[in-house]
Amino acid sequence: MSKKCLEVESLTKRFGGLTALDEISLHINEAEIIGLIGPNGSGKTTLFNCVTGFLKPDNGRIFLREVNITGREPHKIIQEGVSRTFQITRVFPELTVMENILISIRHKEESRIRSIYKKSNRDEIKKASELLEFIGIAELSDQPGGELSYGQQKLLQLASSLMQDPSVVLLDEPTAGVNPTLINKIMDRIREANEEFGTTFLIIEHNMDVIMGISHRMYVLATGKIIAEGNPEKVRSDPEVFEAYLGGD
Amino acid sequence: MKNGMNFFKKGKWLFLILIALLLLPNFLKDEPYVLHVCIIVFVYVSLAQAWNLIGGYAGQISFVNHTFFAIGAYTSTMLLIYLNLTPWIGLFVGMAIAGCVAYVLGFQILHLKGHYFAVATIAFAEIVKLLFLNWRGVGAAYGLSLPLKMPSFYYLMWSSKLPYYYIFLLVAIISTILIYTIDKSKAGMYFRSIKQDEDGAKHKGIDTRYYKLLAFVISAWICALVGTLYAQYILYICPRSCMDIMISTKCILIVLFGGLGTVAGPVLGAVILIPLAEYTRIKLGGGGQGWDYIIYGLIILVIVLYQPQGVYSILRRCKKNVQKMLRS
Repeated sequence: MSKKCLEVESLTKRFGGLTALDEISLHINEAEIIGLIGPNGSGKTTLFNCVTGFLKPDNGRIFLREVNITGREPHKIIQEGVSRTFQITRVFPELTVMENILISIRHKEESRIRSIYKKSNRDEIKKASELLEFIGIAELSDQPGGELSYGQQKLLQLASSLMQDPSVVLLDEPTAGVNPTLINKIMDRIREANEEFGTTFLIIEHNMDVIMGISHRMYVLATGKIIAEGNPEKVRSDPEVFEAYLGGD
Repeated sequence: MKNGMNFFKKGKWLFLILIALLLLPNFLKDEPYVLHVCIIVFVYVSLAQAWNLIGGYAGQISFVNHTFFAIGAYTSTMLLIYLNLTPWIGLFVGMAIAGCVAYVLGFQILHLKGHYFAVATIAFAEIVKLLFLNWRGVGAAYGLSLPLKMPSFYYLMWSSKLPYYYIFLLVAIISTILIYTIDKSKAGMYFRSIKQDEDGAKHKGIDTRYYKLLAFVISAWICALVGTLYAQYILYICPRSCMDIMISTKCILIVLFGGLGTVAGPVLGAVILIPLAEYTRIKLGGGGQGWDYIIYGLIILVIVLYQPQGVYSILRRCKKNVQKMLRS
């Protein structure tokens, strides 16, 4: 039995009368790639927002490596080792590509007052260059982030999320709006990061071929509840999942 | 051609400008007015750098900087009048009080976004101004005249403008170097990220509230420092002159004009706009026609409309072209 990396315990989030997340429980083991799928509006992104502290859950607890992080401030949760990327890319347009990665260092160990005169040190720059090399946009390192193509921004987000040696990386639709060649590249990088560095991933994805191909295990969300769980084959053949996507009733 | 290239390297330029600035007063012995304009330019270089930090880098549009300026001026003046304390100490007390006010105020309102923050700062600034206008203990609307002491370094008072020139020059240089250091530092990177996408910065694990407060407090420190020195120079302070929101507005204009979020921007802005304002006032003012303000406003309008990145970006482009010419 491998160790649990992230554990969510009966998490509930309501927006007024709408229950966006209803007693969600799931867990992710170390060095696992977990797929999170579900129809639009099923609460996937809300779950991410609750885990990263941007939304306060109404009920339930979240553990990161057995530390309770429920209700902490977002930047503190990120500093504990939760990295996150966005469905619509969110790079800093006027920072260079290099700076976009350097900014994602683990801020926990950094002296905030000394940052006024300190520059990024050699180790950080070396690591950032390696990551740029890893995703294959090293030659763009001095360009402003806003000048990258959409696909390159997606890659940059991925590299940036790996900078702090995260315990877990939450990826929100890493391949949405990206051409097929680049989709393969992004997926290869995720797989490689997982195999080489042992990075743990939780991935929201609508592209079924992609997510079935890469996940070790999957969770299926529908209207705020987990309706299925298991390896891709099992999820694929689950009648309830089929119904949720094609609208049963 | 190689020498020509070297000449454009930053360091030498700055060194030459510094020497020129140090020697300049020698040629202005019979021109106290020109010296005065120079001093006002230095004052606004420092104040604009302070605003640049919170507005240009951290992206928080503050209309309260003149209040910190006034806090510096009032604190040292009160200490001088009632305790006969040297302004050198008053200066630090003023900075400390301004820093505390900035911290408490920032703690309350820095979570407001965009215009809401700007409106909150205006409200606070006006409250303080009204308070001072009616507070007899600090001279109310009559203001405070500084007691004349023997001209000395200890009382920061001189009968000539010359020492003031050098002091304000020094402060302008210090604040510019400070902003330059921050610009190149990690904190500078964090400030810029907060300006571009605050939630995004939080998602990188940056304590955005802390860094916004930090920018706000440092900005207040610079303003208070300049405020104390300004009071020592003008020798009279009142709420209508040194709590005028036009001071903050001018800083914003200068920074926008010169180049938002750049080190050179506020310097260029102040060096161009302050003498321009004086010039249009002398040449076109008088008679209550207001031509000076119209011309002044038009020039700003043209720059903001056609060169939103400010004068600095024009210069940078020119420099590139000159370098290209020299190379060929």
